[in-house]
Amino acid sequence: MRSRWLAVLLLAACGPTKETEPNDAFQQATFLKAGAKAVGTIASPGDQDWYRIDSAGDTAFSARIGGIREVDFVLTLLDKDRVPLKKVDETVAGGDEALLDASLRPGAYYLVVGNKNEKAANAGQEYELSTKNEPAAGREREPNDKALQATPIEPSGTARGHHWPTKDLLSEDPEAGEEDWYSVEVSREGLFLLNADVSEVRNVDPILEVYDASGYKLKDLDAGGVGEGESLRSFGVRGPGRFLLRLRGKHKGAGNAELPYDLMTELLPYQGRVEFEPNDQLADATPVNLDSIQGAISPAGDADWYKVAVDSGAKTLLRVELSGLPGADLVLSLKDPVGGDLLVVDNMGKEQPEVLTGWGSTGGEVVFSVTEKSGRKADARQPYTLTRKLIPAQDGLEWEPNNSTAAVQALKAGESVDGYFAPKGDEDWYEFNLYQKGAVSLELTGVFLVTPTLTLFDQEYAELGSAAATRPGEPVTFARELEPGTYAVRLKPADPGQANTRDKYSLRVRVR
Amino acid sequence: MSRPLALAALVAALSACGGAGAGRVPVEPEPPAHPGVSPAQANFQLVVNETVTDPAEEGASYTVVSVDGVVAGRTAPGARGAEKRLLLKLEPGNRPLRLEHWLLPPVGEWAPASADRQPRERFVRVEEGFVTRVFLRLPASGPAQLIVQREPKGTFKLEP
Repeated sequence: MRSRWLAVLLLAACGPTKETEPNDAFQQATFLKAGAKAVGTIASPGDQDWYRIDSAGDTAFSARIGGIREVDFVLTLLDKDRVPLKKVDETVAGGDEALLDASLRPGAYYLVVGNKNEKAANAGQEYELSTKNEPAAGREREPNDKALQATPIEPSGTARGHHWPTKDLLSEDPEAGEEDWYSVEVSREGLFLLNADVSEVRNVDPILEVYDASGYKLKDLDAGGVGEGESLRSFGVRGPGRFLLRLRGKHKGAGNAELPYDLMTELLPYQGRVEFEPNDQLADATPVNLDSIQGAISPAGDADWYKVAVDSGAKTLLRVELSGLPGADLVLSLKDPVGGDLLVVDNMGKEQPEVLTGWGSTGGEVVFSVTEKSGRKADARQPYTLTRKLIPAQDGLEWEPNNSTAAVQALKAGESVDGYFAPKGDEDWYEFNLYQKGAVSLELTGVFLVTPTLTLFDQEYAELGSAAATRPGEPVTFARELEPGTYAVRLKPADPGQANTRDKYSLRVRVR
Repeated sequence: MSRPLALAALVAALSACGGAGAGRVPVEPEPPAHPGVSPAQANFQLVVNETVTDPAEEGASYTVVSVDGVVAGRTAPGARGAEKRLLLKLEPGNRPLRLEHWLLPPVGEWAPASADRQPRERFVRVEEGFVTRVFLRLPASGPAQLIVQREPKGTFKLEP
């Protein structure tokens, strides 16, 4: 008989906490062990059940309450001073509620179960309130709905949280949705790259944003759709420093209390092998110090700026090759010192490489950008490769820019020059001096895919004559008796859409 | 103050602005400056514009004009970033023109600009009743650019 009573007592000790009415205010709160269950009733529409939770350590606390007929539950977590920390009201009468990922530190907290339905009359049905208490390490710490409340995370690690609740009921803005802020502290000195991945969660279209410590938004990622993740790649960080990640759902009212997201971050020392985001403008151009560098178009509309240093005093030709990217049509744009377009290289189509055949520099920095033509494609996981070659200039090689009479390239009579009909729309101007009257012959070799035209001008750029190939790949010759003077030759494809970045032409000026 | 003395004073003042070259008297290149001509007599004008983006590379410069291999004149020296003009009266005809740009760096002595920065030689036509204008542009980087115009006298006001 004694053993039967003992068993009953033990079972009672292991069972849920029964609310002790009255528990309508914090002074009357029923003690609830974090991680335990409680049962209670909503005796009247205005009834509030207060539970006191005494936390012993740093934990991630969650509470779920099962819906009962006519009662529209509202769950509120308050600190020891009864300041609301989180408030949840996602469902209507009869629905469950969940308050997830709340950060508990040592001390007292209050969990209040309330009802919103003024007509509720279900005093006889018990609700069940279940709580969970887990180690805080690697977990979201609600409330983290503002930058000031950002959950600190390791620069290389994983944080688990929920896109939940969908509304921020404690915000001054009645339309405010749920958002989770995280802060990353980089304590070491140097340049680093941050990669961050947000896992996919059903029903949620996440947006990941990066802010600096001053609150400036540096990056906005929204490449994926509903039920897809987001990925930040090669985001440049200067240490020591602190920056913030803001994670939110794109669509109002969309959340998921059942499936958590994982936010995985990785901090790597910068070694110059990948772009240094943000590099979306001239001032932030990534230096290309190695022979090649990788980058990614993300988010949609991303522009990656790069700069190549050329030794001062050295006449150098810069060649840049940009690999193709699955599903995307990349464009390479050479920039002037204020960031305007000098030259746009868009010779090829989707998934095909682009080549800047040669750009002359006598020193300083050559700046260019990589963009995706449609502005709608993005994929942080698919990098492109940019390869650069610095070629010492020499006589007989084309020196771009030579697209106008102002930038005409000098050529000696009797000599030849090799160049490219590229990019599309290219025209190349050469100039030679004739010191004695003579018969001049201009000979241009054929180039695959290009139907070249050759036009001769006098020194005041009056046209003297021209010749053209009849089909792609054909050579062109032009001969004329000329008086002493300066003469200019313009070469260009008959169709501005023609270009060849692979094969050079050769122009020779012969004088008899 | 005599012209050579004034020139030396200007150059010394310019090099003093550069700091490190203060107090040094630059070596003047040969030949001496061509006196130039009045706007009424001139049938040729050179206008030189140079872009210097790095203050550490500021200094002085001038440009020598040679026609048919013979020096015809030169601009007055001045700060590199300042526009320089020269009016000349040349023999009519179509002749090869060579411009040679000289630099006085903040530290160092007068020397011709590097071959990459020198403009290409080209023919210019000078005719009675016309003014041939040659614009030499020296961008911060890249080769020199030459633009040649020939217009009837009186079309525009010539400024020395």
